[in-house]
Amino acid sequence: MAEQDPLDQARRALERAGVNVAGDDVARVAGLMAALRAANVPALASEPALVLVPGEWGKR
Amino acid sequence: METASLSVAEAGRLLRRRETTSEALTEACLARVAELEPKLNAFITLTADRALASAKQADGELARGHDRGPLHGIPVGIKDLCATKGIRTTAGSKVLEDWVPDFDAAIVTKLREAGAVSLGKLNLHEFAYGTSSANHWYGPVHNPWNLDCHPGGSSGGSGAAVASGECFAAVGSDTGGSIRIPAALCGVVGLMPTYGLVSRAGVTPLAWSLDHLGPLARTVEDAALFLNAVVGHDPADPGSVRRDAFDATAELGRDIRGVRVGVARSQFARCEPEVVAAVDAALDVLRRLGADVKEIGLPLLDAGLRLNTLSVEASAYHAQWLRECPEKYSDEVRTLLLWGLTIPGYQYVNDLRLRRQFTDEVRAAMETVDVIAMPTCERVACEIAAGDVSYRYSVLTGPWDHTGQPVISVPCGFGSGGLPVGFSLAGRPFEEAFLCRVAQAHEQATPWHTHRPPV
Repeated sequence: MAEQDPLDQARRALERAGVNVAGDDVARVAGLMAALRAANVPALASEPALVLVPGEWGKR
Repeated sequence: METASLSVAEAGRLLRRRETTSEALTEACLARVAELEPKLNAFITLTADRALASAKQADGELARGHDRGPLHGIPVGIKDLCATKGIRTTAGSKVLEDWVPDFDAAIVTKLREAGAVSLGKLNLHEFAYGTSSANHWYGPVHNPWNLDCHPGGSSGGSGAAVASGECFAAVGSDTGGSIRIPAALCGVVGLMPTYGLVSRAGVTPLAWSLDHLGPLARTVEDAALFLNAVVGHDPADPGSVRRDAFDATAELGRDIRGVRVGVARSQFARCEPEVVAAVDAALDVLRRLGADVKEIGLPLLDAGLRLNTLSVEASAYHAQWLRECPEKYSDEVRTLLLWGLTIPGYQYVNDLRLRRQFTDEVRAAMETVDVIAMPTCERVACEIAAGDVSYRYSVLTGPWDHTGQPVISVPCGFGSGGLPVGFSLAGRPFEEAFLCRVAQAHEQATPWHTHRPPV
């Protein structure tokens, strides 16, 4: 599927952000996205954490 | 005179006893700069003539009995992220390579009013967006303990200049660790104060809700003295806070018997063994001094909390330049900024929710402990040839910019190749005096702050 191609994902995301960038930059951003996913560094990790700690407003 | 072995406090005493002059201190620092800059590259712009003129003025004032305080006549460095009137301010970037501001940043004004002598503008990671200070446009800063290694960043010029004796203290900024990382990797003290305590007006932002300004210095006392000189409410900074009285030196010299030190043990797990050994030894020192050291849990941190607040805010600041002049960014920083533009709004909102939760979690933990201890970086400095290290140094420091509380990094030993290791203590908001007391107790019980790099 096209959506699963990292380069295509990066290109689409950059288009949504309103920037036209060179192919090299798309590849670099795709590479960074992949590296962050592999290192579990990105905000992608935040959603499971939120699920683990629900109802934060009610706690105060 | 061997300036590399003097502290701000010691130099101040010599000045007031008329045993030295600001001009002599400044000339000694400039001689050190002339000797070391070909190796360190810590400065982007040196302002030697201005510095000597300021030093002469400082000496004249002291001779007339006009004493501006502990920084009077002391040579310091300014991170080149801070606007300086009539002096090029690049932020370590190509975008601003020709920018000569017609105003001073608030912290520059504060330092001038305190009588400090600015030697010039210090090198940094491009736009402070990175932790190596391997600046693409102005060349890499080198670590004075091993010239093949990074000094850390983004305030790498500040760390290298202070450690090597090119200046007595320096301005740093910290958004994900940029004061504490170079402090740890260069073997000096770095103090990130409470959010809002030091005005950021006139300083190129990295991320508005995370940016802190603070000192790098060779001792805890020097960092506290420096901080005292630059705090203060400023309506020009929307994040600035009002404090009626502030004195970071107020508790220096007091013992730490009974002080409760929480250890965030989960943060040790990803550290190199040499870092763990040095930080554990530091905790033993605190125990011997009477502190009650105990492990604490911080569930979100323990689970590997990572937030992208910085990335999104940085991209928001740079979005227009990214569209207008993308070629004026290095590939590394442009890639990070473009990536930040792709992070969806819902994810930023979730990060803000997590940030609130983490802050609450830390606040709750600090009802049972007085400070939280942890390694500053997971490893010692890497070789510059190793390339991009964006996430290698800041994993442990990053979360603490989000809580707004003060954190100090102090030297606690040496690892492989004689490279420094630092450990961090986080305190409650506005309790810098207490934090400095604990940090200084460790410092005075260990020899680490007396070691000097071999350059």
